[in-house]
Amino acid sequence: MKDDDDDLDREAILARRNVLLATAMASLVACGGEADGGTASAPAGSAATSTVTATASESAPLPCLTVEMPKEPPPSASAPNTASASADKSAAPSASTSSRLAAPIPPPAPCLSEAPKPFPRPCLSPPKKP
Amino acid sequence: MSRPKRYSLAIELTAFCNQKCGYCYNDWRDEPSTIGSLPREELLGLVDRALTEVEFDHVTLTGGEPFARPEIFDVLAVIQKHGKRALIISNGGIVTEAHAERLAPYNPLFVQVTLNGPNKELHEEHVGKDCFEPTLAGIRALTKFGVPVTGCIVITRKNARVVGEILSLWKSLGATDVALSRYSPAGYASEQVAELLPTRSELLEALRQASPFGEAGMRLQVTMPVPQCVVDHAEFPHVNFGGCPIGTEMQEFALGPRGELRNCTLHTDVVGDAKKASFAELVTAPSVMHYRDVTPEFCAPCPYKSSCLGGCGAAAHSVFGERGLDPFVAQHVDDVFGDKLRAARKGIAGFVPATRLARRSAEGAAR
Repeated sequence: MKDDDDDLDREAILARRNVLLATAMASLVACGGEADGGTASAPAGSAATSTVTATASESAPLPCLTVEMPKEPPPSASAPNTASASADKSAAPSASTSSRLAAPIPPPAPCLSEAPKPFPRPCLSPPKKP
Repeated sequence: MSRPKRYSLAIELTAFCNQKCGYCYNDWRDEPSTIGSLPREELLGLVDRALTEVEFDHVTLTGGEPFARPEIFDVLAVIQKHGKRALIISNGGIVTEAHAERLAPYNPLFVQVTLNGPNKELHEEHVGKDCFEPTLAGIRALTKFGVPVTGCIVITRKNARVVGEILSLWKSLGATDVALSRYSPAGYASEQVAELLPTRSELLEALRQASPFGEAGMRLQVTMPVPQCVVDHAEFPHVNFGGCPIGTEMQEFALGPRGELRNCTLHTDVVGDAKKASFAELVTAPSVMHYRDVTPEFCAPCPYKSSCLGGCGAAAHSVFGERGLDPFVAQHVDDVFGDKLRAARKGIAGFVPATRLARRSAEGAAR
């Protein structure tokens, strides 16, 4: 039932995920094994949040659903971010879901989960004050 | 309790809407009359209390169609009293010059209006009959009175390959800022997942067509999560991308037409009843603060998982019945879901999203 585009899209996503992982590992090696701590967003109220004073742009399209991410807190302050570590079990993906997914590539060592900044581009600097 | 800071509060002024968009994420889209809206005094009191108890950067007025509620101007006055500004999400279809003239003094950040096709046929295929010209008239009325209009395109399977033409239309209307809202199958919209969900290839084509407009100075913001494993954001330097902000200070909460507070306009799960609890308590509730604790198993090895969260959790919940991988990604890496979508597209078998199925079962049991 699949067509060529379906297969291409699937392979591209899996390959891209491998590239992201490889990039993260290379970054860690280059930094002497220290993560730069830019991956996750800080929980609301965290002292590590860098966009507390960010304001709506005067003319930017509505960022109603996706907005720039705050700076990540130090790894030690990070909340657990895997389904298995969740306190909210009702929201965790079930085994039935995970078994339907494409075979995941092996997870990195725990220290590798904190890797390059996800949105390093200048366009995501805090918007101007209205 | 201290006064927390949050980015925005989206107030759903009414469940009523003059359009019938297939991509509408309002769960009540096909039965607005059962939802209604808050009485005027109760609404104004809630808005006043929300802005007192939480330091929101701004307020978003939405619906339904917010201009269908005459009290929109009373709400704007309350927002103005608190020294805040509003942005308004409207389909533009019932906006008259009288509305625009009355709106201008409130100095809204902008009114965001959606066009999903470069012509009447394709736009109305998304939103219903006889909506194209009224929307254009609404845009022109707002522009005439100096109200900033931001464009929006909901990118679907039907229009992804003509996004360049739609952006040309927006340019001709004077828009300098356009939101590229990748269709997300949340709420009512999940019913149309097979029909509307663009593939990775289709979204890439849309972004390629959009890029020259960005390069020429148009500000383009993708307003739904597009995970980095699907699209390398660096390939589109003139398009802004972001991630789901739930659980961060950049979150935009939704205040529903019954006074319920939700994590965003797409989520159906209720954080709490704002008529009974303080907004400060609600925005710091455990279900909000721990939202980011969960990421899909597929994302386990990804270095972006903490910010990406696997895409739109609301869409995942609507389609699969639980927080997990965004259907936009899952269509390509979840074989069972991918096969179901393809079967639905070929008319072999229908696909009913998990939450809609549960809802129908509950309604059937109640009868």
